Amino acid sequence: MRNRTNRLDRILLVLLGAVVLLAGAGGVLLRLGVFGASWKHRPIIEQNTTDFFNRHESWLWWAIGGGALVIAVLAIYWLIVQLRTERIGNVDLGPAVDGENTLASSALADAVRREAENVEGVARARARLVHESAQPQLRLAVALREDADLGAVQRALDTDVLAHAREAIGRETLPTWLRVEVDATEAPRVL
Amino acid sequence: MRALTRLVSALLALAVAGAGGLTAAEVLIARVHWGWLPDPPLVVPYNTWLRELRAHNWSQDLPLWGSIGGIVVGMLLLLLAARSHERRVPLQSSAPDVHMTTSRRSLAHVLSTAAKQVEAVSDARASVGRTTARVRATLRLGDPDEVRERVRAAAQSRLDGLPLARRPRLVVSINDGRRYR
Repeated sequence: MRNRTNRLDRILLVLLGAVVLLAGAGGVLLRLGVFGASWKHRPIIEQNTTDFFNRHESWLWWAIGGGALVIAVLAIYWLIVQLRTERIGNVDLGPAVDGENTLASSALADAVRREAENVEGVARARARLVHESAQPQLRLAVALREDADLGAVQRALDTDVLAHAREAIGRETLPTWLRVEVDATEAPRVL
Repeated sequence: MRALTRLVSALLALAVAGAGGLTAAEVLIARVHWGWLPDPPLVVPYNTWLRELRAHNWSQDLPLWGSIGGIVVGMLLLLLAARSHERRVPLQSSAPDVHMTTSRRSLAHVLSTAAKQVEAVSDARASVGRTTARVRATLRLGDPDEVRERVRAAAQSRLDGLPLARRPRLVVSINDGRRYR
């Protein structure tokens, strides 16, 4: 239930950042003569490198092309992950006589938000339903006023707001990610 | 910050996918001489680029500026990755299916507010780490040791009132603001 996209982004940003930073640092160190004074007067692509590629051209270029293709496919997956949303449109309420009973997740999220904002001590709230229609999860973010009693807010959210949400979808459990911010200067983001 | 991370990630993914796809296509066209394929290069003038790279050496300005650009871009990417890592503070939940957290910033705000409410304190700042919460209060009047204990008591009382899953160690320091007047 953690934000996997953000974790993937961080890992790949660190990886790419480290590669680019090390390559840049290597170039500057070469220029400064750290690897020997002769290095900085050598061409960026030396004759040795060209000879190596010519010697192994029967397989080396295919390996480079194949590697580039794999990297391109992985990058496309990374791009698709950015465009994917966890939000669900409807919540399945189970079978009905002539089909399926569903509830618009925006209606449920709106009801949860309104009820949460009526709790004493809550300044603002945001809610959304994520994961799968058959197994919905609630992401609820509440911003508390400075004088709020967090314990009382927590009890009210659980006994009233979340209990009503569970009741509305006819489930005993509704996995909930509750983010509480105490310095409510702006509405918290629901992630 | 997460929106920016997502935007930069999308742009980078697009750039890497484009570069990878173009490289694979250029290799294919250069190595396979099927009549219906266009003559190499497809779009990347790699022969010109290779000629340029052979003509330049590391002591010239072009590779230097390229390397500096690499350092700057690499540091920006690492900074973005570090800033988008939001560390949440777990709170005790009353129900097993409720996972409740708050931010370190929120917790720090609670502690600094508690410290500011101590009468002898003119200002207070707080920061929360993984295991330690630090409160730095600026003294307005009174004995520093006595005020430190009062700030500690106020901050500890607020901490104890929160349903924290793991209680951080509280460290209080007093900055005697009267010295700088």
